[in-house]
Amino acid sequence: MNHFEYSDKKIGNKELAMAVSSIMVGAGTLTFPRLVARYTISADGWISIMIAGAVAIFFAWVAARLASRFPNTGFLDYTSKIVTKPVSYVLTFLFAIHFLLIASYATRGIASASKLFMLPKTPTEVIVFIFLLVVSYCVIGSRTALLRVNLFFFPMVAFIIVVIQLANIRFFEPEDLLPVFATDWPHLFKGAQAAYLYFAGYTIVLFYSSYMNRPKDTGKMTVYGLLISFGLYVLIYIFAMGILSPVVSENTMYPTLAVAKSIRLPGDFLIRFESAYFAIFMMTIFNTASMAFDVVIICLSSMFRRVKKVVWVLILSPLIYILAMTPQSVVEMAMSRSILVMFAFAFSLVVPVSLLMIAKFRGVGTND
Amino acid sequence: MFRRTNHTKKPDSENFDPELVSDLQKNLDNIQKMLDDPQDLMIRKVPVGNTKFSCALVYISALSDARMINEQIIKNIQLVMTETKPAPSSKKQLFALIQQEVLSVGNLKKAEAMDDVMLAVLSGNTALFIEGLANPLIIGTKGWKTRAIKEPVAETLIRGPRDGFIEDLSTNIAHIRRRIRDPNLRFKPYRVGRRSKSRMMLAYIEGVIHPDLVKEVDRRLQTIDLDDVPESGYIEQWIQDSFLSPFPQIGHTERPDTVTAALAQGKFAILLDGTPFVLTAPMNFASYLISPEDYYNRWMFGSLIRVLRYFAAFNAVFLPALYIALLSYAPGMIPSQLAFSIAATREGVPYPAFIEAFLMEATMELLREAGIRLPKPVGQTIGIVGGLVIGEAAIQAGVVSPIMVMVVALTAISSFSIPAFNFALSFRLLRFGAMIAATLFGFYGIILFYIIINIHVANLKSFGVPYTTPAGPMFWHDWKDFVLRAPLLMLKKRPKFLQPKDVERH
Repeated sequence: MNHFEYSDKKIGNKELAMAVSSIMVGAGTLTFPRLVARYTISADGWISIMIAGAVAIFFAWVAARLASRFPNTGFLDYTSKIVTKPVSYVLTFLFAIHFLLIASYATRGIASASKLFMLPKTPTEVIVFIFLLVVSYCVIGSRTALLRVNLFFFPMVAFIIVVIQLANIRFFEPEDLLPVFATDWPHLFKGAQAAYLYFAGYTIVLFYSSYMNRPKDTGKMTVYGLLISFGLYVLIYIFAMGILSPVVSENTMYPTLAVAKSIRLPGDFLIRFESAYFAIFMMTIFNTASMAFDVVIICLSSMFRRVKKVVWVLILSPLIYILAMTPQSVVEMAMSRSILVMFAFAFSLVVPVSLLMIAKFRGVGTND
Repeated sequence: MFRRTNHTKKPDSENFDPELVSDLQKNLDNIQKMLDDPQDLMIRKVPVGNTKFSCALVYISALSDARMINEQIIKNIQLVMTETKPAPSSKKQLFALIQQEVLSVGNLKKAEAMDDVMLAVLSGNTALFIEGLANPLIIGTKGWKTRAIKEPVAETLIRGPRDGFIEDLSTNIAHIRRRIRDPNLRFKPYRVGRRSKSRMMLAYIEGVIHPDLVKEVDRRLQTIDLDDVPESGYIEQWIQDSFLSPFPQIGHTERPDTVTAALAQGKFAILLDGTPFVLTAPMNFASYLISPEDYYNRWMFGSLIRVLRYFAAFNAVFLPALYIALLSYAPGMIPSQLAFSIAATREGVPYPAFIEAFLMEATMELLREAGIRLPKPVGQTIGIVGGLVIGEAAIQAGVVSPIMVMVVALTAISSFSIPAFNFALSFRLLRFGAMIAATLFGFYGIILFYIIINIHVANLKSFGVPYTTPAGPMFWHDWKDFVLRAPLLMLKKRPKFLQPKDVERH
């Protein structure tokens, strides 16, 4: 029964904003200070993040404009209006692969970190398997529910991230952040390039905008959502630099979590706070994985309309499992990451802009 | 053999005619045969005053008010008719006269079919047959002993009305009517149960409730096809959205004030004859953690208690699981001093933490169950024997550690502090799930279990209302009455998640 307007298959503004925020905060958030700091001198990485964020905000706005030109229309339908049908099929399929990679990357990320922090003796295979079971359970349920889960988890996670940073404030050494602007531009851009991957997730609006209650607000909400995670990234980065110092962050596997290491609750209630902190992160990594998985299903089921959702889950979850288990070493993980970066650039920068331009040129869709 | 004989239906119309006929004696015979002439079936033939007509009263003595029948029906028919002049000339006239003037009772109805007559008689009403007329008059003469109105045992409050619903439907309706004098208060009657034919009422306030909600609940209530409906739990399980969920989707209460508050919010209530438990829906997660007392006390205290309850809910599900995970998987997270003292108390304990926890939780559940089953005076003994003696002895014997006993006790206390009993039940269920998850995968398992619960409730609906409002589909307005309870002056509007037609509360 769907008599309540808000409870039907549509999502509200806040759901979309939270979806955008929480797909960006994922497995990558745990490691990104290390990867960004590698390219920059002292703590200049925050400039790189700013650049990446600014670019992301602009292009997210472009993507949202593109999506909101075609209210209540799925990605495949409007791309086939803009470019031809075969091209739109190819694009949709590539997007499916892109999000499949994101899902498996998040899954692998959760597996490696949980093995380190929580389950040193349990085999990775089992950890991944259990995680994928839960993700599949989420994806099999309704899409609105999946997006609502973001709404429960993300504000909580964001709040805890902020609290953890602030709780460490007495270890924060501002000197570590100096000197500012010591890095030259090419390196700053390289850092920005590395940081951009974390913001590229906004492409989900291309798919979720058709579920919006008020499609007009897509652009605004995408930018809001992006700004929230952008703020979190800057905060995490600066605190990682200030607390751990750039050199240590560069050489720590999970600098974001390492920040929580020194936290002491009053009365020494719990020590080794990292594990608990990671547990909180699991929720948002889970969101990233489940949304990416869901977008894959949106893509594929728009191409093959007759296949049921359950069938897709049954086909895709083993695929994600295999993809997640394939990289054997840290080096291979880095390689798979660079493939992801390539995809991310193509799909979040090139595709939306060109689609929007063609749409404007051909005059397809509503122009507001 | 037995099974077959039990299930073969009696041929319906072999000895009697299931239709009303104009022959008085034949009607009476039919009724007698239909009911197999039980002892408490009263058939009383009365001559109508000084006229040439006669009539007959049919009722079941156990269910009806004998005094009323004697004084307001029989006496009137005999006496008033004697005084009435001129005497009625036709049967129709007599019928009209009796219906309009003679009987001094309020509840009168003309029966159209034998089925109506049977249902009325079996419900405690009296059928008045008049010689030569097929359709009898049904006179409301229900009267049986009901339980006195008492404070509900399971939902006690410090401050709040002390009356509760009882098994009698009319009294329960009166409870609600006495509290809401709105002309738009509706009671829609139903009969449920093929054999029990129990009365059921759907109560709502028209103009407040979302109209489609009434349509939907009406549709679901119409589908009920049961033999016998002994308790409103049957109705609940028949019309709920998901039977696979561990969470209840319909609330039940014995408190009239809870029901009236629900109606005023834009919910509906279902009252069933024969049970003091009234169902209210649609419910969301938050409404199970609300006690009416939150509103009766001042808002600060109400809010404090609410926050406490959310912690209690978390404790009730996850505390033993956290204990298991901490001890088995992450002992490093416990500060060393505490870790030493825990280790010292666990020194003699031969089992790993999870066996200890399962053992104690199972014992706790047993104690709880035994406490309910035992007669009241003995019940308290169980509390002392079970809680104190077994706990103490188990520690002394070195079977469990004192910390474990503390955890179990805290969990139990937490689950008792949840106001809705059915909701606390689902937490008891989930606790074991969380413990298994913690046993297998430690914190990882607990977090995944927590995620699963979240996914599940995000998918769950109660009559189309998402279970997780106002957090799920976000309604800022409803947050005023969610984890915190805002001052009454700020609660000017009805909850938005119910989409009431009349938004303003005043």
